[in-house]
Amino acid sequence: MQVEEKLLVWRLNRGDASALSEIYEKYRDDLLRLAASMLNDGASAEDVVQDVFVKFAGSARTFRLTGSLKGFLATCVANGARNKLKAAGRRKTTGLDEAMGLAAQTKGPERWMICSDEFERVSDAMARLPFEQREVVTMHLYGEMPFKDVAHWQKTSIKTAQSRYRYGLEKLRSLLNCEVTA
Amino acid sequence: MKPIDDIEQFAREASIETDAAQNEQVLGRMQEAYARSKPARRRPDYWGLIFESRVARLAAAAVILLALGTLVGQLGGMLTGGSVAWADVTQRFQSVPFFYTSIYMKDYALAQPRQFELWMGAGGQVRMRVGSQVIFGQDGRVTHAFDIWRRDEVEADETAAEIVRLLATPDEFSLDTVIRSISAGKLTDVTPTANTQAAIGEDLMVFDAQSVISPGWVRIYALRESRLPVSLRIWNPEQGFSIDALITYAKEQPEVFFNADAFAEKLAEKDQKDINLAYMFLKDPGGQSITPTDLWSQDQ
Repeated sequence: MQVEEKLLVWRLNRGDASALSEIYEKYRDDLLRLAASMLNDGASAEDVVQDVFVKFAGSARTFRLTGSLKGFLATCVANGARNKLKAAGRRKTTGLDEAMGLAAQTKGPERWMICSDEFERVSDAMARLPFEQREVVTMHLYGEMPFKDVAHWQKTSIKTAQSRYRYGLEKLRSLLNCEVTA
Repeated sequence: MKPIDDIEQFAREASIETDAAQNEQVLGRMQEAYARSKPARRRPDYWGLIFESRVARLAAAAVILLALGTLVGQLGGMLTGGSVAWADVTQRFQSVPFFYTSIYMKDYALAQPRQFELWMGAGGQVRMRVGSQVIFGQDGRVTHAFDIWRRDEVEADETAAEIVRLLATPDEFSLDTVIRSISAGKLTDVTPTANTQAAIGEDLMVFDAQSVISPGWVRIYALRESRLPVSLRIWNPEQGFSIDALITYAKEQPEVFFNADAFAEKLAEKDQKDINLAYMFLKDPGGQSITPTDLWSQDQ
């Protein structure tokens, strides 16, 4: 993956615009799932991911890859999602009554993202996790970021990030299985 | 519904789809942002050009062949004894009055190659065949281009025209320039180095030039005794883009071979077969038949 990503960036640095669509196709779905899971809001998730892709394209000629490209883009999306939540004052766990947002929002006309039933269930359950747990779970699952990088981004230790992930998954399991038995 | 055991797998496999029209729109915005952004200031990168521009790729290959003869004295010292130096190869190539090269180019690993045939004669005369076109050039300029299927004079194939132009401007796009670009300007007198691992027989010498700023490389095969380059390969490991050129040498073709007016007269003859026209007036130095006309004349 690293070599492939380096070659894609190398091509962009040298003016090969076709590398943009390869990057877009490769990472679009995971970045959308990452944003949608963090925000539980389809329209905001689409805005964040679009913004990240367009900004990346604007700087791609001089972009220098130091780690993983997917990790870089996932971090940009996570930052964008954090900013959205801060701006909306919604950086909290979604209550049971509020958590049906994504399903309703991603069914309308002219939507970019069309969610499967399974993803809507996962996303709605994610919205009920404490925010820090939600961040670790989504960034590790959809951004494929190692715990070391997520910990660095959250300004915490690797152990804490791993614990947040473990607790997050446990809660997710119980929420989803609770739905099954309900 | 069954309870979910592996929650990680369930979450990873929970998929989304995207709307095609919206994808186009986002991609369009990305392309616009990319087009608006200023390219990084960098030294002209001819090596990059070879791998990025369809026209320049092929032109570069052809000019590399020609430029082999322009570098004597610039490239390192002559080696003595049994070994062959790069300078020997370039010097020998320069002394050849006529050569023919068949160039195959493909854009990526699984693509069908496109063939270009190029004949270079004395006094800057060039003739090319590309697809159904036969093109005549002189001193870097296309003088006439004909389409065999349409039986008419046409505008020359863009790539072929570019090759003809570049053939007359070795200073602008010489092997020297390419090599300097390969080394990112650091090596101004570098020669492609002999790669002894790449050849089995002792009668074949292989020279490699490796880019330090891209994954691509150039390899030139030359005969040890005659010191003539016989093959050239440009390869980009990224997509499998490649150029293979086979070079042969012989006595000069008759003057009429490079004469566009004589060719035009034959083109007007309705009973001429395509193959006759593609290789009209070409004489095989070994006496073999090239076209049905040759076969017929041998039978007489």
